Amino acid sequence: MKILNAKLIKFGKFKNFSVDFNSGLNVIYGNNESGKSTMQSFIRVMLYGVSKADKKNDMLGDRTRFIPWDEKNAEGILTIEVDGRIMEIRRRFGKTSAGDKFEITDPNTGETIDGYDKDNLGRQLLGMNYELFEKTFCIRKSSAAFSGKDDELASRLMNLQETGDEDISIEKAIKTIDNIKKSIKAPDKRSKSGSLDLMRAKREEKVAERYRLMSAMSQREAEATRLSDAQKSLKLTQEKEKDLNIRAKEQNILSKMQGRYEKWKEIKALIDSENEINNRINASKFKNLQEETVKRAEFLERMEETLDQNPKIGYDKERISLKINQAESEKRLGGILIVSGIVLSVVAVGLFTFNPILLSLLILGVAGIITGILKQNKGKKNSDIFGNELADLEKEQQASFAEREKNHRELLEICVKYGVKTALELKSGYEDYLLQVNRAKAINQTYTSMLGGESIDDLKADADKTEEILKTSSGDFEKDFSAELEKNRQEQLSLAVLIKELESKLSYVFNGDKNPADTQSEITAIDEDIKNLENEYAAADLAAEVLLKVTEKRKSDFSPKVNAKAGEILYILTGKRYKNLRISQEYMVQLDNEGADLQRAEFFSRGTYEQIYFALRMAIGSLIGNGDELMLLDDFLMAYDDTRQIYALKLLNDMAKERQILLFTCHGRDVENAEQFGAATIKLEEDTENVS
Amino acid sequence: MPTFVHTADIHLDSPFSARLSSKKAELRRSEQMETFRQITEKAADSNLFLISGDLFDSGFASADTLSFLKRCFESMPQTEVIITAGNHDPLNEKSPYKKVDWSDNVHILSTELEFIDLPQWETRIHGISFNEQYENHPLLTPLDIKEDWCNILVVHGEVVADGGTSAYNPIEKSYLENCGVDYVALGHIHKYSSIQRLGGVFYAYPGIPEGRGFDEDGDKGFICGEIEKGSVNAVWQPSCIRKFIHSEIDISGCNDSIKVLEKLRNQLNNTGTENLYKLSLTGRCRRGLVNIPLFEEHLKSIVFYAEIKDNTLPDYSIEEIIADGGVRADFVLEMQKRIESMDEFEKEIGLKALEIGLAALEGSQAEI
Repeated sequence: MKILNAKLIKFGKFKNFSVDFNSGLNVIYGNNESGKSTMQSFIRVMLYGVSKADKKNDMLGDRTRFIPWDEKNAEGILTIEVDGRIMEIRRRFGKTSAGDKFEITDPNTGETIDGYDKDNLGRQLLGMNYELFEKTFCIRKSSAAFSGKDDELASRLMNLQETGDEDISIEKAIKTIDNIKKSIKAPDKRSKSGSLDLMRAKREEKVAERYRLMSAMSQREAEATRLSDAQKSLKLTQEKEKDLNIRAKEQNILSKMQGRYEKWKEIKALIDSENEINNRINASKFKNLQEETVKRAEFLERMEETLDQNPKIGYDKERISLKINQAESEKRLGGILIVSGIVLSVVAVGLFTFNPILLSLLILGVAGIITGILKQNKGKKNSDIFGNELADLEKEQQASFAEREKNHRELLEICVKYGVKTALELKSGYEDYLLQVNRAKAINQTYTSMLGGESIDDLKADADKTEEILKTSSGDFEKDFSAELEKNRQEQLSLAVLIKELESKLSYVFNGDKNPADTQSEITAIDEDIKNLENEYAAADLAAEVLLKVTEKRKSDFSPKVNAKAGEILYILTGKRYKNLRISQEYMVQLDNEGADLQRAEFFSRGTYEQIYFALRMAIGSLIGNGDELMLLDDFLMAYDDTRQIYALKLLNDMAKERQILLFTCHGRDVENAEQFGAATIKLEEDTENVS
Repeated sequence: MPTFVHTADIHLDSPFSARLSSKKAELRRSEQMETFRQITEKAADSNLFLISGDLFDSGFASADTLSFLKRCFESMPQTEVIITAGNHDPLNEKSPYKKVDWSDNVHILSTELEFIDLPQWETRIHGISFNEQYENHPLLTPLDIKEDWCNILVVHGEVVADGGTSAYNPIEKSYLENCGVDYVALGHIHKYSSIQRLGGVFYAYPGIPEGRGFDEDGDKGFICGEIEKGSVNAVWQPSCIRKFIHSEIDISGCNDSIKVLEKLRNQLNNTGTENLYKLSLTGRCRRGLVNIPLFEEHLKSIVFYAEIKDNTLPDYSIEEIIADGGVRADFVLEMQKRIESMDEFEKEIGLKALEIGLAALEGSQAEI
């Protein structure tokens, strides 16, 4: 691209000022205040548009600077040639972008050329943005390179060599990133903690806090359980106390009533056996039996036996029978004696013989007859007497039999009635019965006397009450309730103390504790922060790594080329004095004198520095661009001595064969010397503003 | 045929994943309860109140929560409350369910598959509770279906494809299809599933009734309706007091922070300042325009909660940087090469690295 003409219709101090440029080296000469800077700005603004105010650098915006004080806008036309085509760039700038106008036309046809963007025109035409253009193809005396300190200058040269941009310092960029990294994570333990370190520490704290809160919560729960257990126990103990009191009272009542209860039990046993006996009595077959009947039966039985046996009659009968037998025997003896006396007397008379014996026989016979007759009479008489007696006895016996029969019937009747066989049985049964009756009576008397006039119902009521108590109570009346009550009271006391303690613990110790859920939330948030910081750290790390890598690559690919090219340029500029340029990591610029040792930069003159700078810029420009880019140079030959100034102009003139170079200068010698090489010169006068 | 309200995953006493102050966290916890209370109001007019697990967020339930729940359930004596425990509140000895003497209408189903018969509605309710935090194997076995009655299954678990696995009681689809009930009241998934149907079986996850974080965004609610033998007529009702909302705001063209704030405010006013926001700033803007702490401080007074993430891209063009060449171009090209081969997560770091590197190069420039 070449600039053919600049027409400043209204721009800064210029009004309707037009200037033509040649295709090679153009030297634009003017004194201070003649508008050289404005001219350069015009070219920039026409190509790249206006820039905003930069408060940081205390710079006014282009609109403020370039709109003439009595105008509402700035305006101009830049005629350029791109690839053989001529274009007119016309721009107008208002105080705001609303008043802007932009147009590109073909001056030959007057037609508008489309396809260009007002904000992007410079890039479209030059292939680079303004910053890059400025850094590569604009070389100004005002460049910071020459206003700063030497070490800064060295670093700028270093930047140029390393990055191709004097303002971009890899070292600083890496340092910046390192600082970011350090701010996130301390590189070692001695360093200040980074935000990630702090965050991690905070996380640990929060985890500990959560743990503490959780265990406090568990503890609290445990304490709450203890509290509710204690409350339950207290309730139980209180109930037990009530129970104990009731039982103690019962015990008291019982101890009083126990005697009565025992008495009742005895009486009850008596009544029971009385009843039992009475039942038996009532059921007894002898119930209606009279004593007389028993006696009668006894009598009857005795009578029967008496009658049955009646020994006197028997004896009498026997005796009389015996007497009868005796009388009969006497009768029979009398008979025998009679017979025997007759026989003897006959025998004695029949034999007539008198003989004494016979006579005795006759006497004996006759005596026998007489005795026999006597005896027979007496026996006969006795037999009759005794026969009468026996008959009387028979009669008597018959009467006795009849009486016995009567007795027997009566006795039988009694026995059948009472279900016994004998009067003895009846008697013993009756006696037994009477015994029962007497026993019942005795029992009755016993308890009646035990009651001593008290109503049995009263005693029974008391006994029932006592029994009821005995039934419902756990028994154990020997128990010492006072001891148990005392124990219970102690228990209640210690439970009450425990409850109080737990209640206050629960309401003070745990109260106001954070909810662990909140701490969990905080941990979640911290985790997110940690993740972000880790990502940021990883990103910074990656950025640094990649930056170092590309720098390394540049160092091996780009820097040697820059050095070589810069050396070539320097060789020309210094009149073949220096050739090889080296810039070390320590910002040491070294040049080798031909054949001599490397020389350190601090020994170089200001001029040499500028030449090194120029050489580097040119070298980079030649590596970046195509070699035909427009180049703007502003008073940069100021520090050159006359010889080197000529070398420089010659170099520029050579370079200008391929590209358009605009050299702005306020030094007459530049114009003179440039003219020698056939460069075009343009003079800006004080009054150029009114050229039309 | 019974009417019902079905909810799950209430997660009472839960931590929140948003950065809420402890006051606001407490407020949110009470709002969770308030939401639940509103659901119980609806449930009180229904025959059945089905709670499919994760009623509590953990074994730690505050005394306040427990007494609140007890009161809620007592206030609906006509409603049968059927609860099955989930993975967050498994029914073990320490379970909060065991710490309360619930009213008679509350049925907490055991860790063995069981059913409750409600002859008044000719309904049999089947269910089982989690015993452990993880239940890697299916808890469900064939159900004892009461023919001619409505059968409902209340359970916490994850519906998986046949042969699928889950640490949270995997329920295979073929099981659902063949289980024989009319409605499966599920819990576990925090997003409403809509009422699904497999064969003759209807099933649904109601989702969490009140979101707790940005992973539970949007409207939240519960299911209510009526079950008849063979059909379910139910709707999902929103219940949440506040929503968690992800919102993207393009701030391209904003040149000053006040303009950005204006945009933010407009957005929040449109979608409700009672909600909780995760705002993502997108678009291209100059570096340094986005001041997250400043913006968040501003929003504090107008919205319940908002956190802002800067996802804007720098207003410079990568293409231009590349075209300009130089070390910046080298850097960008190398970074792009690397980013290309990164996964989604690494890419985020890669893009950030790109920005850090460029800013560092630019910063090194500005410092000079």
